[in-house]
Amino acid sequence: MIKYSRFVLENGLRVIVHQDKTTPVVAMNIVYDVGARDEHPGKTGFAHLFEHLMFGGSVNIPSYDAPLQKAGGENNAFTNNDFTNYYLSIPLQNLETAFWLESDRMLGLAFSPKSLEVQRDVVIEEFRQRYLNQPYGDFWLMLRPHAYKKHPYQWSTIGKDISHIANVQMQDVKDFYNKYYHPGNAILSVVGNITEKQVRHLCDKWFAPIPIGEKNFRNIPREPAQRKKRILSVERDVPFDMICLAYHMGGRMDKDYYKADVLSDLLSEGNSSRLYNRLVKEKQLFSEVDAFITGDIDPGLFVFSGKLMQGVSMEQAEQAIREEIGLVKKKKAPEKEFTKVINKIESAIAFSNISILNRALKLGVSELLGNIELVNTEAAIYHKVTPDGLQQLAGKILNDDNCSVMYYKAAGPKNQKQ
Amino acid sequence: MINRKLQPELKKIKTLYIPEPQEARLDNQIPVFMFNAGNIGITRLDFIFDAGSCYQDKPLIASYTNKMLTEGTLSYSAYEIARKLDFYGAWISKSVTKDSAALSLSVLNKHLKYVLPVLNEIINHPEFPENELHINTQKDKQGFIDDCRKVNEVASMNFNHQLFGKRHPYGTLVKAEDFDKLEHKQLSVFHNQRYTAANCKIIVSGKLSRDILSQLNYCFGYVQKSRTVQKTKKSPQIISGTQKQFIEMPSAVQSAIRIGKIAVNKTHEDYLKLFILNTLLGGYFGSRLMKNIREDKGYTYGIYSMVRSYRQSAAFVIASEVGAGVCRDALREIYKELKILNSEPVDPQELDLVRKYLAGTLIRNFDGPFQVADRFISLLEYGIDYKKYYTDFLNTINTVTAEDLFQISGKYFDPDSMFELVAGKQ
Repeated sequence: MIKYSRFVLENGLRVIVHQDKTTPVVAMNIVYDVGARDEHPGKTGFAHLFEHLMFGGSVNIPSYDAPLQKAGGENNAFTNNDFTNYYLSIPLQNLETAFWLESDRMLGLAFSPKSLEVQRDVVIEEFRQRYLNQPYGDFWLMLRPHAYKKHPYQWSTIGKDISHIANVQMQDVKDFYNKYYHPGNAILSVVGNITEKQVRHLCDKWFAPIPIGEKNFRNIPREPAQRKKRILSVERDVPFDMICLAYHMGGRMDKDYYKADVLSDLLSEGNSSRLYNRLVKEKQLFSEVDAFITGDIDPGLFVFSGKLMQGVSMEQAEQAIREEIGLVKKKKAPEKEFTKVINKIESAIAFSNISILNRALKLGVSELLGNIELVNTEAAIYHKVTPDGLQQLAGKILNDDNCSVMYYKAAGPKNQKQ
Repeated sequence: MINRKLQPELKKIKTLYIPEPQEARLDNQIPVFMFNAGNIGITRLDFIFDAGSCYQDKPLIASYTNKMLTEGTLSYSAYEIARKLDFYGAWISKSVTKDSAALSLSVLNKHLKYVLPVLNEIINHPEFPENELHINTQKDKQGFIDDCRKVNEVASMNFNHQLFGKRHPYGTLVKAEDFDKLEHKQLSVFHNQRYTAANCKIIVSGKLSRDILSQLNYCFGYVQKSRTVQKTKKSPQIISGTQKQFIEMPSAVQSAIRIGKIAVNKTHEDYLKLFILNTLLGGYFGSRLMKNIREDKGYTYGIYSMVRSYRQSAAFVIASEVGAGVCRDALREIYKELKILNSEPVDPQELDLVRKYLAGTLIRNFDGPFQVADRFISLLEYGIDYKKYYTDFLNTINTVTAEDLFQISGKYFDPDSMFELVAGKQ
């Protein structure tokens, strides 16, 4: 049970406090309600580049990192398609530095031209390191536009193309900041040995003076229902073939979301899962195979992906995955197997609550989703899922018409054996 | 009005709370160290064996002995083991370093008693079935071949080989065909020799149940203790390879860089100072290397340096992936930073920042029973007193002088003594 209190400042900043008396450290998390889905199709990768610029100095403080390090703190951030998240941990005795730093960069940025110039280069290197210089690294860059035709999930957070990042101008940066980086668009959560009263006091001092911003209304195009199976075949200089089947599913608050999560675990969580045992161990068709959900706030994807063993054909691989899909549609999961999956989820939730940073993140994201109580009720929601529910869901979404298939073929000389 | 230009007052970190383990022994003398803390009903058990890769005769034996523990035992098949562990929501992670092998179980307290007998089978009665070995090596071999296309992996694999030389067990280089040569027999021999009661330590952490020790004793205390410890082999001399190495990977858009040399490990009197100086150079986000190569030049997404401590030696390594077109420039800047470090003592303000950052890191590293257990385990193989080590650590952070660090720099960071490897395009 995570006990928390929640209050809202006059400028719209939502604040959540969870006291944990056992830790000498405080975790602070700030979610800004902006992600890659809010980008213009011609200026993709921007939300993520902007996250880098948030470390380039704020209106009163020339550098974000050094003062935090001086306080014994550590920080980082990430951007996904839905939101941008900043987090830090700091020894309790120096907590006020965190309020000082985070409130200043919510108040205003330095907008240093040097920072923009350098971070453009850094992000371009990140693009190369993670997406271009790895075998299979461009997989998501191709799968997204294959599966999404209208919705902005069709591009990755890094962006569609390096040129989008290279072309960013300072005016873009300022406009984006003014639109999205204000108290009404943010959620602050604080976890540590600290009371609500103490946090209120620090918030009144540091965050309350920040002016109120203009409310944003999202107008994101909906992804139309897919009517026909899509096939994309690419060749790349990689050692082995890879296959992917992606099915559209509901969003994070959809009633079927938890069913989909449980179904993906039944298929591929742990060494006793169906795909691992039958396709990797028994049939030896894949060196690795996975079924997972993307977990996006808007309607997302239920994905099967696998790397083929040398000598296995795409047809064999696809057939094997389809047989497993056929099975979950045709037959209800046995009670014992089903219980196993739920047990594992229950313990995964318990383990994920160990870290104070994780708890701070969960509180922030649950609030963003509009139901902060999820931090305490998720386990119970999973317990309500039934084998019948899984079978129904499988029948509803795992259909050919709803599927985007990708064949990622090894182009180079295949036989690398000796 | 508040003054937003001024940082709130900071408090110096003078003391560190270092919990000490409760110690006990099983009937067969296996030592058990218990860290009882936390408020979530979870137990973590770490079994540590002197069974790292330095003890193997051929590549991959140590890692596959460890990996295959869960792939079939006297009473259970690989699938049955997986099903039981998953059913009770238990997580097992296995790992092998150059010196040690570890098996770690995390489980909700309410399920511990059902999982312990399975764990006993895994640790004491593995069978290493031929067919499971074959399946695992063949799929892993494909993963290895994928890795050989990644500049960063290629650089990592080859740099240890370059530093320690081909005769030293720390310098072993794995090849794809090694996966085909592994035999069932080699694993069971290695297991018999090294996964013994005399070679084992157990660390327990979490919110522990009262009878944890008797539960452990029931499952693991009976294994015969008569087996003698295999003496640590004296490693051959380190004969490093060529000083500069370039591994060409024509399709690379980035090159991976390694610059470094043999250093000293955690038992050496210079180690803590070396660690502090390394932090300043490349050990945290505000380091000189990160500031110069990333935050000023934009050559890379990240650059780090580290001191990798092993039981019998250590390596200092600077690592980065940089744009292929700026690789030469990046190398030049790295050497420039090493030269600066060797030509003038560090600025007091910069040292002050590193002191405060590291003191904070220590506090964060002792947050909760599992973190504490990790700290304890990281020192086990050196036989160093854990409480003394971390007390000294904080003292050294607070008292080390710029002059001390200047001496360390001369001793360990001389640019002309560095080895260099580039994988990718130059």
